[in-house]
Amino acid sequence: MPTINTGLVAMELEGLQPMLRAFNTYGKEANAELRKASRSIAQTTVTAAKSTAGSIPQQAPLVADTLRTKSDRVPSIIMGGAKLVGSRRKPAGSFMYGAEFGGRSGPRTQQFLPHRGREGYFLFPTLRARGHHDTIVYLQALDGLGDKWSRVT
Amino acid sequence: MASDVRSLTVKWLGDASNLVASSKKAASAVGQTGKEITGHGNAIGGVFGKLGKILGSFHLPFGNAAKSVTQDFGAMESAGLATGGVLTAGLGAAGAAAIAFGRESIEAAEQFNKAHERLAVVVENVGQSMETEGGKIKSADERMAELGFSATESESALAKLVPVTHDVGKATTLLGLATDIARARNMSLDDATSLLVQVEGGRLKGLNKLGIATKDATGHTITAAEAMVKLNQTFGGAASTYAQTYAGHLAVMKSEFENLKVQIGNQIIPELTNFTGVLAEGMKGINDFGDKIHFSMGRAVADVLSLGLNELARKGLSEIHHSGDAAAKTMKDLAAAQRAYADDVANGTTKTDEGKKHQEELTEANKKATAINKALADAATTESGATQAQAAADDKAKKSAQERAKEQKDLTDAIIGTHDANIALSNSTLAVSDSLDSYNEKALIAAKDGGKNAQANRDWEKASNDVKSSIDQVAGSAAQAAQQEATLHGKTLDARGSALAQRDALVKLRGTIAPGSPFRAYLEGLIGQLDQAARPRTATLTVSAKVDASVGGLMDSLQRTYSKNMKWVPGKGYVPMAEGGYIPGPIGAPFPIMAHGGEYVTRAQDVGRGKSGGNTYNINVNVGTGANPADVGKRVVDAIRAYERTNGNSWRTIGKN
Repeated sequence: MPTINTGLVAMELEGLQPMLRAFNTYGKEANAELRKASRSIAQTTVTAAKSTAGSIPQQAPLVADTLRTKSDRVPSIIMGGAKLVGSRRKPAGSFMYGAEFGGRSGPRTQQFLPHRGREGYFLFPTLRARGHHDTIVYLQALDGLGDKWSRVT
Repeated sequence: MASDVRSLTVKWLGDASNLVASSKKAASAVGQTGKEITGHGNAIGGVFGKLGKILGSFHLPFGNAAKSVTQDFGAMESAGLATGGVLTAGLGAAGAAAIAFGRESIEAAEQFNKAHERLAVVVENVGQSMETEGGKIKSADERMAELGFSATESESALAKLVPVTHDVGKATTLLGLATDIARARNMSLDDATSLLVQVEGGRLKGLNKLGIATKDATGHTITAAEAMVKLNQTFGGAASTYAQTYAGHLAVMKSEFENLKVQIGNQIIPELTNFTGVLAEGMKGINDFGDKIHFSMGRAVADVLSLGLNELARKGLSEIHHSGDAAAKTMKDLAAAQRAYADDVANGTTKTDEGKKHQEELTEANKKATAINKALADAATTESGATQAQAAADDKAKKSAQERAKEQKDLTDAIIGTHDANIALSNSTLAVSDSLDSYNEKALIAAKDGGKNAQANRDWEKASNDVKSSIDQVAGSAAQAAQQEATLHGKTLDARGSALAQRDALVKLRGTIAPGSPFRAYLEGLIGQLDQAARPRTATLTVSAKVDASVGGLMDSLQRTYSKNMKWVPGKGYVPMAEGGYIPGPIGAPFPIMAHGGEYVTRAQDVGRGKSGGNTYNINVNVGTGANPADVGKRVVDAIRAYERTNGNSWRTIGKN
């Protein structure tokens, strides 16, 4: 069964793409360092989200277990997918949104926690709490690496 | 929905130009739930969104930095903020990150307030007022924010420029030039402002560093006004240009973030001021400690409160909200009870039922506040103690790591030294082969001339010496390698060990030299010498004794052996002039005798060799290094005699048959 991927971007900045294109000219090492920095920022959020999910009943811990960082030049995480979880061995991605945002609005979503709109139960609250700090850290890292590698080249 | 397998990828940052396209693409690929998420992402807003009832009026700061700014984190409203009171559950519910943000906001606000106060003082000093000039200053702050400078930086710079310009309007104009210089020369706004202050005051020395000539074509020093014109011509517009770059956008975003912290901090500080009244008891203890360390009241309360909330935060996310509420409620109840009691005292109604009730409420509120203060102070102490313990543990770990690193380095050096020595040994062995080849060549050359070429003969002899020298070098390298090996294992190499190592190396080298080579003999000689040095030192002592029936019989035979003029004197032995027989005294000790012509004197070691019929016993004694074999042998014989005086000599026949 194919997996439907949804991509979300937390904050859009004009000029980010040209900056990242500049990194293409700095060589493999520069991009490797940027990926490493991005990954480390994202990993702390993944850990925090998993920890939060651990204290929430029902499906949250199962779905949170699929949280992982993505190798990218900006901090990125992935959740869900085809990994089989739970006692019924269902793909985590098939009930991911219900675990995060809740359900109980229809007959097929009674197994989830109550729906809390866009607030979310574990991932989105963690992103809100950490997102700004992470963004500033990432931008500082981007600045630093840009200064370093642009001097070299 | 349950049949669709989905994955969600969240990126912290994306490029604005692709937003619409990516959103539409994502929306078309997923179902209704996905559309709701990306639909939210399409909304244009600031980074923080609405901050709740208290902070909702703030304009979102990043709108100017990025033309299209969206955020998918959703509203920053947390459950706690909705209940009112920035400090309480709002900070607590958002977790440690928000507490840190609150703390940073207070710091930022205090720094801005100090800069603002300094500016107010200098504005008053030049005869102007903040009321009339406040609009210009605010405009300057906003303009600086667009260029990436925070309000604190802007007002600090103005506080320097107003005293020299004597006018706020001129100072704000000069501030623009300061920003251009700062961006063009990659220096801080404070440094650029200091430079302009000097120039404005007629001190042009710093202009040389900026590449501005301080003398005109006629050689005269330019005036301050001319210097300003030159600066404008050189650097004017640099700040605006910089602001258009990506780095400039980041600077603008950071400055607006900083300004936001100032505004939030200035909202928090008054709340803290209200709190200080009711936290007096707890703060007294901290202040006593704080006498040794200066810190502001606002910071102290924020720290104590944040520590308390951190402590509470460990109990779980849902509890944070309620606990934070409980703490805030307790403080408010205490303040209310204090006010009520104060009113009773002022009105003289403390004895009424209502007054007594107020007193009871005040007592109860005091107890609760005391408990909370104690918990907060304990948390502060625990954290301080834990921090010190952690620092000590870190220091210890660092020292251990340094010691381990040194040991590792010593070991590594020893290993490398051993390898190098073994390589040197191998090279010296190869050098012997090379020198032998050279020797053979020289020998052929000398032989070609029949030995009559003196030069060829000299070269041949020299080559011969080179071969011997290289053989010696092998021995030397072997000794060094053995020394390194011993060092690696923490042992000391003695002379015998060194000789053994050299001997073994030369024995191996012998295998590479043909038996007919003239240097084989040289090599054998070296090996022989080293062999002697390497072997343990031993002495073979041969004790020969004529076996008789008894010691007395031995004495009788000795008596008969000697002439009638001789008699045995204990301790002195026989007087010389006896005819034949054993020389008295200890074995090996010198004793003068008179011999006659024709007589045959038999050495002690020759006695019993097929003549006397006695038995010969060979006793091998290993003598330790450094001991005298003669002394050892004497002691052995003396020991045998002492044994036989008490036990007889029957031991000599044991095992004979």
